[in-house]
Amino acid sequence: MRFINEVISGSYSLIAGLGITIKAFFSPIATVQYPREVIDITPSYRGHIEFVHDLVTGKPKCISCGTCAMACPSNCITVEGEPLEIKREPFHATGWPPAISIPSEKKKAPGYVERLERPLILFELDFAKCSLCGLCIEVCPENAIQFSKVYNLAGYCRQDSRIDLKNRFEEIS
Amino acid sequence: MIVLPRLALSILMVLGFIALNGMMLVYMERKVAGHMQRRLGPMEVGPHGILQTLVDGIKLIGKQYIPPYKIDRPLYLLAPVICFVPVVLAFITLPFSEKLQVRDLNVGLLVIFALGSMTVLSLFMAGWSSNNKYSLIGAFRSVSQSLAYEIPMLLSVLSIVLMTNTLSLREIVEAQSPIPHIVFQPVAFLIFFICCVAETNRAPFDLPEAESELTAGFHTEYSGMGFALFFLAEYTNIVVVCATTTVLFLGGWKGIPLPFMQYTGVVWFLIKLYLLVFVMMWFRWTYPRVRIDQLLNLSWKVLTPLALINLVVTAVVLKII
Repeated sequence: MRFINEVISGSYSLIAGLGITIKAFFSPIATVQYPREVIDITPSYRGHIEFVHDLVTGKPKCISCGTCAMACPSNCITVEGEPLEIKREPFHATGWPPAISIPSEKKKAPGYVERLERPLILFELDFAKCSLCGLCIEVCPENAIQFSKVYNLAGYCRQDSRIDLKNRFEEIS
Repeated sequence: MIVLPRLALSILMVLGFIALNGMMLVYMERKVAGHMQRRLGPMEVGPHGILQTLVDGIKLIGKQYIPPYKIDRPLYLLAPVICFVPVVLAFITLPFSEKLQVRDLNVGLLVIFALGSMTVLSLFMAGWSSNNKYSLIGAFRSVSQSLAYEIPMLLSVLSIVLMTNTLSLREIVEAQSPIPHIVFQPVAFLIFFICCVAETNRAPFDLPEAESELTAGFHTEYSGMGFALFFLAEYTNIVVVCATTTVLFLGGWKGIPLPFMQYTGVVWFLIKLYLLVFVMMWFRWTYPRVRIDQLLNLSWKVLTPLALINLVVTAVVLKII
């Protein structure tokens, strides 16, 4: 008797299983044809870091102070800047507070501002070491870096993971 | 005099059908699998990926033949051929329509089962000669499975033979002229179809080639064309067993009459055939693989007694009528 019960309940469960798969067969597709179709990235997605585009000057906000490189727990950021130099610029052109404002002792021409600047030579990120912790973004005094939305980050060699953010910024803009 | 050209044409048609059908079934299997898992399946090569199997086949032909160390070479080389030849031979007697049949043998059904049971020989040869423990375990399982499932299969067919009094496939189809045999013999149909799934080594009875346990079972050590022949034989075997089921239970080429019914009956035959193939794929993507003891229990404790009872009941009913 137990045997017959087993056969009947087993047959029922087999038919129920077939029902589940045929229902899936006629329901819409849940996957995306990846290289051709892309779904939206969530706003909290963290790609590698990139420079913030300054809307006024169209340049990176980076002042090459190197705080990010010091804060980085994996030492994956390299920042190099030229020696400090004094720049005279028309007042209206400086959209953001100058890097280090020096109240000039000398008489300066009206409408101009003088400031100390350290032009950026190199900003390199070794993405192979980066853990995307975001400390560099938090410590940046100028808010000059942010997470990008890049996700195609596979490469063919180790050098592919070294990203020159300055070149990248110039290429994009 | 017409015999030789007819034979040549038959060979061409059968081989063409096997090649095309193999490609189509692999594509169909992947598409069915995809949609049952709510994916799309192959989409890259050709529109909706229809050329995918062709490209895979070309890749397989181009692959190197790598014989493993210390194999039993003659057996190793013969196994794929012996696997492939019987399933091709089975097409001799399959009636696709009233006129589309290579030869109507009066022992057609017997020929099909005799050739079908040769598959197990080739699987055992492949597993034995490969010098690989996984292949050997696959071969052992294949033998015990085949032994277990041929008995209920033949017993269930016997009740059909009792009803029709013939072993010729054409006459069996003619015998179910108004009503197909599935109406009178639902139990026999169920047993026969389950045994067909087991005979073709398909999931949930794919123990001889269980991927997760035996890497690839008996064909672990085969590459290139050897593997391709096993693969093609497997898919052709599916068609052979489904065609046999169609002939025995679903009325073969019978259906709503079409013009030139003697030839166009093949349409109904293929529709029924591929419906059964779809059901087999449906099984594969629904059920998990059974254990070897469950497999043998099902055969010896459920299917064989049921088939015997069915046979006795059929005999008694036929005697009374």
